[in-house]
Amino acid sequence: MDNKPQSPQSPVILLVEDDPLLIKMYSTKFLREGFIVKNAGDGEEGLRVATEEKVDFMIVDVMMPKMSGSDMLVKLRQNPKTAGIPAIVLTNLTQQDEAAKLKTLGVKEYLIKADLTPSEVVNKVKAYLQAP
Amino acid sequence: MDLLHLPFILKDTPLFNKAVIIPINFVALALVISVVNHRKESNSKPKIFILMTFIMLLWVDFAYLARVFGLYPDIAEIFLRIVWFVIPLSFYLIYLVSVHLTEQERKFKSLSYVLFVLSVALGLIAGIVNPQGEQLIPFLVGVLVLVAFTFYCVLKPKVSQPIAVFLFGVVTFFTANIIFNFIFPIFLQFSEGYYLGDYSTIFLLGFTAYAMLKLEAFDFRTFTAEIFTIIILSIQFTKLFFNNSPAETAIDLGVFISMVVFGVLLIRSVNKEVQERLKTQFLAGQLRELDARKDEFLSIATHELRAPMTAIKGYLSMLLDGDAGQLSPDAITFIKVMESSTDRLIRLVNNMLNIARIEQGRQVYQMGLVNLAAVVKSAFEEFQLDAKKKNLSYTLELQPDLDDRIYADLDRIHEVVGNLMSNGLKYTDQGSVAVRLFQPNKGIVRFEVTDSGMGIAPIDQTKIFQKYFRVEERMERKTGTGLGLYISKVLIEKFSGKIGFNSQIGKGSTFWFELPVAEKIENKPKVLV
Repeated sequence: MDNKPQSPQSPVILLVEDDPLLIKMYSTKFLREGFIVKNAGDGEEGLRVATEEKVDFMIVDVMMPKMSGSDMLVKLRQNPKTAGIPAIVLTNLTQQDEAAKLKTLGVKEYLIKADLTPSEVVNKVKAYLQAP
Repeated sequence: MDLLHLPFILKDTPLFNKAVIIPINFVALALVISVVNHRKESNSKPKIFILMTFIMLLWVDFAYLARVFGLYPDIAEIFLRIVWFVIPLSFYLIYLVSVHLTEQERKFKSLSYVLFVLSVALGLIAGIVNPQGEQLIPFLVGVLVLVAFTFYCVLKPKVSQPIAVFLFGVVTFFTANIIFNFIFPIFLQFSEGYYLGDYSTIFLLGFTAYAMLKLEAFDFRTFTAEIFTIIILSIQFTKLFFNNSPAETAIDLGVFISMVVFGVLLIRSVNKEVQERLKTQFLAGQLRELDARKDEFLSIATHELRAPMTAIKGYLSMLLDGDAGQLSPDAITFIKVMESSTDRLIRLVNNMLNIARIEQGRQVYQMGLVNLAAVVKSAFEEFQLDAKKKNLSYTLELQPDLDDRIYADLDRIHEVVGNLMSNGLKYTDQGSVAVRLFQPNKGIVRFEVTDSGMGIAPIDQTKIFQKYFRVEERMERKTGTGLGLYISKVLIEKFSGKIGFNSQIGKGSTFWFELPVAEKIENKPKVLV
């Protein structure tokens, strides 16, 4: 199956994820669906990309080296430029107190990676982008 | 001096005075033994306490001896000079104990040296001069300086309960001394009770020992048993000297000896019990630590298991989506088998994690008002495809005008509904699966899944809600973790409901749960569905 063509108007997804296998998997799927994908391997890099480049939606892992996803979100929410970027958390960690904390950081949903296929993730993101 | 006259001198000493001096020595000794016995590691507090007790006993005993030898002024004066010498030292040691109890040794180091020199100088001067009348004033001023610094350093940090107890002992001691040794003799010309000031030492020693033991977290039962035994023994021992006949003395001696034996046994048994308790506490602590480590392990293991499973599941789904090009029908069949096996693994991990959380009480329930009908409808839709694949009649029947609001956690109740539907479909190969939601009476809403499947053998019926129990162990063909019904039961009971089933082998089963309809309340929680 061929990729849908990307254009300058295509939505930009920032994928903050430290597992290379999963980065490849999700970016492949998002690219095929016509998104522009930017990757960040940890919270620090994610913070830099989100601040310096145009990002429409973030998919954030929690447990990552250097800076965790939640710490990154705390920092991003303090900056008026990045405070409004919608985000979902995609992790394999089931910590309910963590989930509750992330909800206060404007996270749309707290999703368990293992429970979803990449196309289900894409559909969720599409739904949020259409009706924010 | 004729020592043979001593008994006669003793007779002139007040009875209370005579009777109390021995117990005071015993109790002081007992306190020292206890504090030293219970010392956990080498630290300076017990040493200072021993020194304080020793100096205080010198004061009390030599003051007593001075009174006993009242008829021999030369000897009494020597004893009195010793008393003069040790009094400032006693006050210095009270100061020093308060510094140590409040752990301010470093802070008050130089002050402590100055006060030590002051108290030794005061003691030497008073011992040599044997002050009378106005000569007492500088002596009292010196002692008051020591008293002032004692209060200063106790009250400076935040006063904890043991320190407050110590402070109480200090205040009792100082007050008794001021009243009986100072105000009464000087202003009221009443000197009969002057020894009471000396004897109030015992309050100071007792409360200090208490504070010390409490601060070091020692066990009080052994401590109390020791003190109690020694006090009784000392009273009995004192009695030996006040008997009128040798026969009485002999009896008292026998009683005394047997009391020593029983006292030792008592202390030993209490001590043993305390040791056992400490051991149990230690083991309980270790267990808690192990449990915490298990949780940590489980959480890490789950995370680590989920990562590769996510990749497998994701890539398989992409293969099926056609992301890697067209696949042959055989390849698609194989991949679907792989996909369902992966889903099974993921379910297993999820269930194990759920159980661990529920059993440890770590599950956080987001309770709220839930419309059960909406949950049932949504879950019903999820299984449409499965029913279609098996060509089953799959129906949903909702009672009209249903009062279906329940108080529960939305995601968890969805899990239970899905579990029962999935079980019904899994164990039914032909016929029907009927889902129903209705109210058997006003306060209750009942959910039912009736299948025309294989039914459950009576032998399995009692075990069906047990953890890890699976009927398919007999059937040898279905897959599952054996945790679904167990979790469902735990959750429904958590939401104040009941769960159960009726089944006939070969004919099918009905699994049901009932939950109370949420009461209509004005400021009702947010409706989640």
